[in-house]
Amino acid sequence: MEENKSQHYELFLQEIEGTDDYWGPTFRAIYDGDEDQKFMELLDARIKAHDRDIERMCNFHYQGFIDSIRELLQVRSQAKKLNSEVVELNEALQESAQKLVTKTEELVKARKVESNIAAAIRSLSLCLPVLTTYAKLQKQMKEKRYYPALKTLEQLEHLYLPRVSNYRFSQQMKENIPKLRENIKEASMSDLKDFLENIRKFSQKIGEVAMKHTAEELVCDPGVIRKKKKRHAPPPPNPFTGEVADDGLDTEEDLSAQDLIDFSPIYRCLHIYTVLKSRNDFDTYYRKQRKQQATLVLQPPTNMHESIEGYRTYLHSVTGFFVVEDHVLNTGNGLVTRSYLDDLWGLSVTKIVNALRTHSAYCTDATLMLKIKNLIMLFITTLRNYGYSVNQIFEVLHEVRDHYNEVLMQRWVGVFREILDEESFLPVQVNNQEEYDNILSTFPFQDSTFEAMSFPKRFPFSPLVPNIYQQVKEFIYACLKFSEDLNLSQGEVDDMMRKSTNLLLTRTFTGCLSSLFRKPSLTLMQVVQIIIDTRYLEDATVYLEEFVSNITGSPGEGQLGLRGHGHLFGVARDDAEKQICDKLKQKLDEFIELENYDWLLVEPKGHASSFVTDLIAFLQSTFASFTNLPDEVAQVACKSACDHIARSILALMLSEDIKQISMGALQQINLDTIQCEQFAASEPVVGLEEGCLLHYFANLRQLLDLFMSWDWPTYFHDYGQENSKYQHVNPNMAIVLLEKIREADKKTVFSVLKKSERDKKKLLETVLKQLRQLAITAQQQ
Amino acid sequence: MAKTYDYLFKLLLIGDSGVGKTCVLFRFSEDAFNTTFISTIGIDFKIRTIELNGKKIKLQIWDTAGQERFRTITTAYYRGAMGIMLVYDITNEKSFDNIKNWIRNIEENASADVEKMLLGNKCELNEKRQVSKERGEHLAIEYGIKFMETSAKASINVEEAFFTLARDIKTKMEKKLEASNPPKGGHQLKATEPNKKPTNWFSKCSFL
Repeated sequence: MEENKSQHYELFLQEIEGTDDYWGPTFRAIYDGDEDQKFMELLDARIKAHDRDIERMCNFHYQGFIDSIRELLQVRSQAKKLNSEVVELNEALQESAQKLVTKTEELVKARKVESNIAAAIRSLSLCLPVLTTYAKLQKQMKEKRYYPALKTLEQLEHLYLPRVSNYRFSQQMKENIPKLRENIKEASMSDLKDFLENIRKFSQKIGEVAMKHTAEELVCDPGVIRKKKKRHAPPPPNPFTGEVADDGLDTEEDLSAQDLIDFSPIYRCLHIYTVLKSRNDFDTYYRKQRKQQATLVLQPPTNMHESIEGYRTYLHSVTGFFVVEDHVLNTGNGLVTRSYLDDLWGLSVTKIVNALRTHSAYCTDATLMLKIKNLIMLFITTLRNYGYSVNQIFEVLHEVRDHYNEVLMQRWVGVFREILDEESFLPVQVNNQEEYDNILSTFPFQDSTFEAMSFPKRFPFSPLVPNIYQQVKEFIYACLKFSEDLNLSQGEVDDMMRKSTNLLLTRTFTGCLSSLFRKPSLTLMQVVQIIIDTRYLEDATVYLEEFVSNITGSPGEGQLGLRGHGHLFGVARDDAEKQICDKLKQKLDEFIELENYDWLLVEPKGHASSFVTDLIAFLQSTFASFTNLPDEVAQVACKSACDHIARSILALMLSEDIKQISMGALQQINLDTIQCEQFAASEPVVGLEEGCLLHYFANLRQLLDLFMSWDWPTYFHDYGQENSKYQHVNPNMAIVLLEKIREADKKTVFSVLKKSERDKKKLLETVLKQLRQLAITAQQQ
Repeated sequence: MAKTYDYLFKLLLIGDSGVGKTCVLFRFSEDAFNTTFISTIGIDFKIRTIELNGKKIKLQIWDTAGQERFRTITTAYYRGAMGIMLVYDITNEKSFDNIKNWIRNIEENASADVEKMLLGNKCELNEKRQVSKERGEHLAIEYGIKFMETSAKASINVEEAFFTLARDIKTKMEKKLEASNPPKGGHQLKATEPNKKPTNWFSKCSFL
């Protein structure tokens, strides 16, 4: 038993040694046995054993320990050193890392930017075409290139805008597109309006150029090369820019109408409207506008008739208008159609015709009318070249020609009047060869005997003849001038010449002569000279014909219709011949007015009344000076004078103013009549049949004879028979005279109641009664 | 029948060609003037009625051609004339000098008691004057006739001249009438009768 207790303590010790903490149970076990002192001793023995172990071990490890401590001490300093080094390093590291971090952050940012940029570029490259297109569009709009603008717009709408539809601006653009279209439409329309306005402004210029070209073509056309001396007008300014092209005259020469005007607005507008599907509206609009313009153009300026400028402006404008329409017809792709244009032309031509007709009718200036004619001709040719039908205007030209002839005629009225006013009506006297030649150079006169006469000599005619002849030539020339270039046939020209020359001489010249005849200062002798002059003029008409054929180049004769004499100057001559008779009668009347019969004369004076003596003396001297008058004219004048005298004396006796005539007065009248008959029988002018003048006194003579012889039985017996002595005595005439005698008898012999007187009176009453009966029967027959 | 006049006076215009006889007459009868010179051929006459002291007087004025070649025709009219106007042109010396010859002509052909008067025409052309008024007056006094300067163009003294001549004829005639025919009732004697020189064949025959 002691040996088991020692082994049990050993176990406790080992347990305590073996465990670090959980010592409780062990301690309990120790304390539970009553051996705790023994164990304490064992434990102390054990602690002493361990202390000895430790001491031995410590002895054994001491040096090492010291060394270790030493080394440990060393470690501490080294650790400190290390620590500082580490701190230092850390700091350095911290420092460098800081920079890196910054850079890295920058880098990150840059990367981000970079990727943003790339995204932006992507977006922009989508938007850019839209914008450039839009810009292009704007530019095109600004440059008025509306058609490309429209194309651009389409591109924009369908190609580019859908790609960027998510942008707001694209939305806006999209909304704007219809507006833009409308704008384009409007702008192109306003361009067209400008164009229309311009074309209106320039159509006159166009017309002028077109007509000028025609004129030039005409000039060069049938090999008739006329010198062109006129200077060229400066080229017209460009209608749209207003600048004047100064690239010389040659280009201007070749400019056609359409070169003057930029027609592109029309085409553009046309395209645009076609694209916009409003073509019909456009056509209608254009035609309407142009029609309105036509109305304006066709309205002639009110003062057109005043000057050629007015006509020029008018016709140029009209030409210009239709040249433009023609051009549009050819290039406008159906904008203007042939039928439309024909309609418009048809309406216009009427207006033109009316305007020309009205205004030319005002014109009284022949030179102006010639100019008008040339202008109208040019107008006609130009428009015909453009394919318009111009016949109606041609007709106007014919009317204008008639009017021109009228105007000429009016002018020549003045010319003739002047000649007649200045005229002395004395034969032209020439004193030398030069003067003689001078006359012959203006008037064709051939007379060999006259030529042989020595100077000074007198032509049979007055200066009137060469002057009038010259003027008729001038007139013919002026007339023909209008027919120039009128493309009239020879026949028409001849016809016209004949008509107007005829009119000139039969109406104008004769009219002037008639008004001359009305002048009181014109004497009988001057009328005689006029008659002689007209004869010479008449003879010269054949030379006028020659003159006409030389001008017109027509070989034939008879253009003036003068064959079979007496047509041209005949009327004038007839008038002058009649005038001689009238003048003569007028003079005779003046004499007869001087009559101073005493109607109750008892006895005749035994000689003729003084007025009759004077009258006959006057007639004798007058007919004596009718030497150069054609015989037949003198004869006619003489006959008419005798007739007039006889009638006047008869009228005097039968006049109602004279209530009573005595036989003595009747005898005085008989005496005066015998005086006149004597004159009539004296052959006052040559070539009259014998007794032919006396014939005019027959009525008067028979009446006087009857009363002188008082041979009433014969009168009544032979009444109504041919070859009766008193066959011309009309009972009424006899009654009138007889009653006057009865009245005179009453007064002078009323108190004488002699039987013979009573018988005489009774006879007178019987005769009167008989006469009245005759008169009644004559009336009844 | 009521007479349209009381007296008929036949007057004659004579003088050189171109002195303006026709113009003087034209001025008197029509109160007008013609600038163009138209030489009178043969003879012509105009009639104008004037009134003097309540008497209507018809003046039948014969205008003669001044040219020599018509002398035979014109002298025939001298005899019947009761008054003669001798006309010269104050701008033409010759026409004045010739007045003497014209007066000789009158003495030879006209009746002795014919009233005469001297007219210096164209007096409006004073700057061209060749014959002074005094010389005209002197010549008139020499022949015992009246004198006036006239202008047909400017209408100076034409009317006066004819009236003067007519008045003188009237006075002379009335004096003569009174002397031979003391006035008695009945109808008036014809003014022309005392001057009548029977010239026609019929009256000659009746004398035989």
